[in-house]
Amino acid sequence: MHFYRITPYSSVCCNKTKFTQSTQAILLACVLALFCIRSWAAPSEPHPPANQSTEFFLQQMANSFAELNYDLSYIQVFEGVIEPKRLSHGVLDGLEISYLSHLNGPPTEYVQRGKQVSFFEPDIEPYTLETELQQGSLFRIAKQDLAQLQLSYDFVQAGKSRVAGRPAQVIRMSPKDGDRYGYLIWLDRHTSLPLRIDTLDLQGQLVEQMMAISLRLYNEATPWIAELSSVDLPAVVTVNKSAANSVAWQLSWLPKGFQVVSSDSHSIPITGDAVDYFMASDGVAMVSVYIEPDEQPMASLTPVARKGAINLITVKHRGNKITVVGDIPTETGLKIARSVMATGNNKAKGKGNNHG
Amino acid sequence: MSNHEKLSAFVDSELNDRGFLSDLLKDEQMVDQFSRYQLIGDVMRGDTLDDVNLDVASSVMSALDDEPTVMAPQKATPERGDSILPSNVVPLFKKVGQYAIAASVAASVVIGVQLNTAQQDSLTPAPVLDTVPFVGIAEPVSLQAQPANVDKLTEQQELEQRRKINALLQDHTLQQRMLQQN
Repeated sequence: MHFYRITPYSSVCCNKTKFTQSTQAILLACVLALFCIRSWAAPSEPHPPANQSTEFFLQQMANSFAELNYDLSYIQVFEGVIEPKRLSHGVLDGLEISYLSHLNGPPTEYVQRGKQVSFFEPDIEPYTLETELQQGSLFRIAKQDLAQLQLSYDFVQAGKSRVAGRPAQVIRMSPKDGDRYGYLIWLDRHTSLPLRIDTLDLQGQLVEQMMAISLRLYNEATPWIAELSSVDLPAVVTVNKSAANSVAWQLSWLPKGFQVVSSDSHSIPITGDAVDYFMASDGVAMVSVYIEPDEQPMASLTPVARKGAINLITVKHRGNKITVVGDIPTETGLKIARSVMATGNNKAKGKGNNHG
Repeated sequence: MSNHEKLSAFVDSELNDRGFLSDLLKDEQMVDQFSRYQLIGDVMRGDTLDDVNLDVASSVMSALDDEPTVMAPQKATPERGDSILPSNVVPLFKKVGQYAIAASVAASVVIGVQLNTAQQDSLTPAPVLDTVPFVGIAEPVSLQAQPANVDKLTEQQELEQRRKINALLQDHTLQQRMLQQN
């Protein structure tokens, strides 16, 4: 069961004094829990810390997610599909290393080392990008910019619960309008690491769910993280962004809080179709807008597809086919698609900032 | 002066009879009375501790000695069924957990949004449960084309559309990865 030697807590251990003490207590409880029968383990769990403000929990979540050494096993559930995944994270000599792996099906792995992420996916040659590891709402919420999110969402504490055998603090992240999904977030009471995230539609129905199965914390980076720090990864690919902001279109409507974060013209990987493209985000939800000429005016196909929280909506609009893809409700996607307008000018910009 | 009055005065330290104490100790009844007076005084002054010793135990024990022993006690049954009503307090998060079950059923229903009003009349709006992929391989996307066009939509077109949808979803993911680039 034990892959790693859990070293005793030393007071010279780096700058995370805020967490180390409780971390040690949790570790102790975890070790005890492994050897004890359940009824014994329960009293050995340390008392969760006292009540704190919502901002404290969210800030602590961002810090813990980036700074602690942990293995988080979780499942992602959508449309009856369950995808088990494991996220290993550690900091070694100041370098942040994370490893996300799909536990079922074709091997799919992501390795983040500092500012570089390597993607190992089935049927595609592995590659490395200078980017951040962002896989689903878990990462976007954990790495959130709280000030930006507060423009679009209200954060309210919604009581205490228990997830993955750990006491949890529930925080409701409810949208300020009906144009986006809401989230219910369960945070570990000791570290504020996210243990469960429910993505809810406007009716409060679950559209996607991330739920932790186990969380293990370590005082030091695990041998696996140490191994990843020295392993050879694919060469970095630099993608030259094609001339940005030259798109002759404009989104005349976006839900409040959404900003255009990127826009360009590129071609779609599999089909090779050339598209004009926008990406907009409110900090959590990411929306892609594709505009392409409608080559088959006779065919009246308007595909609608859905994968978990991600909806794909295609609209035919004045001889163009506009497709909106993103984790937003279908109605919002439809509204965005219909708001696409030609600017008649090649230097047109989206209404938000350019990407950074 | 009766004994009780004397005792009362003694408790209040107003008795000057030196012989009273020895008299008191000889009379068991008077000793009991004395302890009760002291207790009353203590209670009134609020000096008693929580565990006031009223010597209940000895009286209960003596009362029990007098009780006949029942060898087959009747089972105490609640008089009415509703005395064992379930608790009204529903755990807050039980409901949330149920979403998962509901969603696993509901989420496989693909929402079809009708955009072409000209064709709307000929459409059947019944939702379609799409649990089995059209093609042999399991696809990540469940797709529902417009039912009216099913006869017109060849397998070729269907595959083409799936390919297109997958391409767009893949590009959506790719664009997010490239977005963070510095």
